[in-house]
Amino acid sequence: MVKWTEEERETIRSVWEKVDIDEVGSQIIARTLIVYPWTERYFGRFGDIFTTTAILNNAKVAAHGKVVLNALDLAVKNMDDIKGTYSALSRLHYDKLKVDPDNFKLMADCITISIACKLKAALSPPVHMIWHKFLYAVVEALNSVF
Amino acid sequence: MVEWTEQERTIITTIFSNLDYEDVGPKALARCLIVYPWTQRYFASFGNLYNAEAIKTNPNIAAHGTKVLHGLDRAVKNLDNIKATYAELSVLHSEKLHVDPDNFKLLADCLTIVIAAKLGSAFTPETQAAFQKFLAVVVSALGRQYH
Repeated sequence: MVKWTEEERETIRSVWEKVDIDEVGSQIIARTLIVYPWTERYFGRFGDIFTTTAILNNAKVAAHGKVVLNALDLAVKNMDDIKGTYSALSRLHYDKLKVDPDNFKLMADCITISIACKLKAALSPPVHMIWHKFLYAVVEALNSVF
Repeated sequence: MVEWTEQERTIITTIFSNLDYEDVGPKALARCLIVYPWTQRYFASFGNLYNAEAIKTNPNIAAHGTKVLHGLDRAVKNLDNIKATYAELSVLHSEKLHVDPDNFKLLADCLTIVIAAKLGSAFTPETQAAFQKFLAVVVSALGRQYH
């Protein structure tokens, strides 16, 4: 189980409360699809995701980013048992969605970049380090059933 | 050989032409040492790296960060031949500095975050894609001479 200090909990919450799920959510899948185009294979039912313009204008892509961030919110609220909180999600990604787990890290990186664009200097190196630890725990938890 | 579109070339050269190397270089390297603390082992002779404050104010780290950015500048100016441009640097990192090549990606990731924080919403997904493609080529070229 991951151990968190009070400072780390505070830092993660303080980053998270600055994240507008609607605003940041709409970016994260778009960034993942544009920067790592092979991830398009997982979103076959989203319509046109084959050009940058199509991806940026695709309502399903934007909506799904919010679904992902709402799930991340669950992890923020259950930091002491992210693995348990995500066990159904992990099974979903393994059994049904058949996602290559290497891709979790890519989306996590895109989430951090989206947050960096928004928070700018507020994502200082010490804050970034703690946020990175949190996302690493989230990715591990998603990987747990694999 | 890596192919670059005109748009990618423009994105990459524009980012670098608007950069203060003496600001971004130190920030990227300091961030790497703080977020991925094992990388500090390569800078043992640089003095006090005991905490984030010490790292951020360490003049040797700052100077080295600037040096790294100037090194990247060479890649920007030789986009069509990064591999050859970095052949000597690759040998240096492998044979003299003994850097685990996995760490190149970590520094590249930290530089991406610094640029993202600087550009804000101007760091669009397309900009991110071009910039990360550039850094991936740089990282690959640096790892090339390892054996």
